[in-house]
Amino acid sequence: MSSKHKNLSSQRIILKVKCYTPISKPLNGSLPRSNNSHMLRLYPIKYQYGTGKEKKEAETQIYLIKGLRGAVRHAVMWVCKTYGMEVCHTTDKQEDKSGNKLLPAGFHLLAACAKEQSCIVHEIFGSKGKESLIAVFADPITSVNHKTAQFDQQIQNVHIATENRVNKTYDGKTVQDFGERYFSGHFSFEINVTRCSSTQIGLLIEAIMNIEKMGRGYNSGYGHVLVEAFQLLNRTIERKPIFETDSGEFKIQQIIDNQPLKQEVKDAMKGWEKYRELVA
Amino acid sequence: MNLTLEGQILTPIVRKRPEFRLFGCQIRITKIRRRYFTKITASKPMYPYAYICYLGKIIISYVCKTETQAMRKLQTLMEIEAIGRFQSEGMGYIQWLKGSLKATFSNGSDTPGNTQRTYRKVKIRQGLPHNLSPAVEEVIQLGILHDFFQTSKHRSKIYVEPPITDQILRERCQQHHDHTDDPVIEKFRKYDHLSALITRKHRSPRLSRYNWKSSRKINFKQLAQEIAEVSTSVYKLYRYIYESKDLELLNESLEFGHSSLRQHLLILINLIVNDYQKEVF
Repeated sequence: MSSKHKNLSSQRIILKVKCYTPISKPLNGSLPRSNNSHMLRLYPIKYQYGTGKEKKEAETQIYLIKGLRGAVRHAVMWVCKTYGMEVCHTTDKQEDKSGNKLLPAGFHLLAACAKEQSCIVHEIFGSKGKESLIAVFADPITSVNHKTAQFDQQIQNVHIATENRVNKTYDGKTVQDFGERYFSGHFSFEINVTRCSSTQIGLLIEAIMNIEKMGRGYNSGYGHVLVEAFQLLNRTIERKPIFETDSGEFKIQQIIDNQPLKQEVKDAMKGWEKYRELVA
Repeated sequence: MNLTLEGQILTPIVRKRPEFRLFGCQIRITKIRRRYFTKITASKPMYPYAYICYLGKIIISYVCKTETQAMRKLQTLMEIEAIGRFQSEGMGYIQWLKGSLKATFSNGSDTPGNTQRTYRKVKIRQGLPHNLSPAVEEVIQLGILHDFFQTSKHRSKIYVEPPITDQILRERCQQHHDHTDDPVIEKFRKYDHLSALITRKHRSPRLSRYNWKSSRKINFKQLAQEIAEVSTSVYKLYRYIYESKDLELLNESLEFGHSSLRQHLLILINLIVNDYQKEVF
């Protein structure tokens, strides 16, 4: 097995971010024969609820929050721009077929810096030939009304609903009738920064504090994100096979231990300050 | 030792197929739920790219000789968190649940044996070998001519039946889809099914016997006449089909428009000859 695999170690450094969004649409696309744009639907899960001895069982659908890595990337890009650093943009073309400019001022094309000295954004997020140093992951979300709901796996409970929209002409005739799924509430996501240096973690921390938007429709008032808290964690995961019988079958026990890193956050912020003074 | 590890897929694994090899192990996704993961790039703003991804249960199987090897592999496999593309965006995450470590294999023995299947291509001969027995020649003759006659299931695949005078051969060709006690038909039927199984690959229905390759019209009367002329000798018949360009443009089945009648017949005959030479026939 290749030792270069980025998720092959028992120790990880995790940047955990807690957020709140009033309404957000991290959509995946529309399903066949449907006018509604959906989030990435995963699978139905069963959960238990109730306070008595006999608990009731119900089923709910879980979804994935898309576009978190993109939100972090855009925040990192704009933080770098404010300090006068020229970094990679997401596009690799100057303009499209009809002549519209795709590259804003203050950025260079994606991986244009790779031949000489790659910029800090290219180092963290990579490009086609270079692997990304970070991995962004959020626990799946669902919408459950029962306050005593208990899940077997880690699930975030938010409010999920559909917004119905109708496009009309000046005469009042309906042109298009469509719906978009949205979610709102408190949620959290994690960034695996095990392979990042201290300065890179410092940049990510500053970018996270400046995340503003996520998903569709920012100009229409959707997708505003408020970052409430963040935490740098040293996470150790131990997995052990527990052989129960002589038949050779075993269950896998997983023990997760999280320890907060306070001094490392300060060191990372100082490292990032030094770096930006040198480069800018 | 046979090591298997089972887990649940938390977020979809972006791969083209649900079965693949990774880290020297065979990986298989069961109880599949298929999803599409879309991605918009700044340089292609019109439509998002869609990638196939899978949810369900993941099973990893690994075969090795000793128990220490298996335990070492288990330690490394349990540390895997994600598989497939877009791991940095939270795709392909797995939760390991259980597994098994057994000394016995699916073949019932303590050793793995030759678990990998070996496939051999059917080699198509330019001509038939000259040491064939009359019994084999009879089956081969039926094999070459069977699709040119009308049966209970289909019309003649070249629309016109060849004017062959041998009445027994004609009857055999017309009855090759029916239940009969004829030992020649029974022997031939196995090879017919096998050959059809090999040549029928992609389902693409056609209304006529011309396949998707054909660009010209065929004189079926002349074709039937020419086949009837060479039908007396098996060797001549085989050679005629081998060189025929008209039969290449016809399909073997109307539902499989890309198949070729010539290829079907040649594979059928070569399967019979191969078995005859191995003394299995």
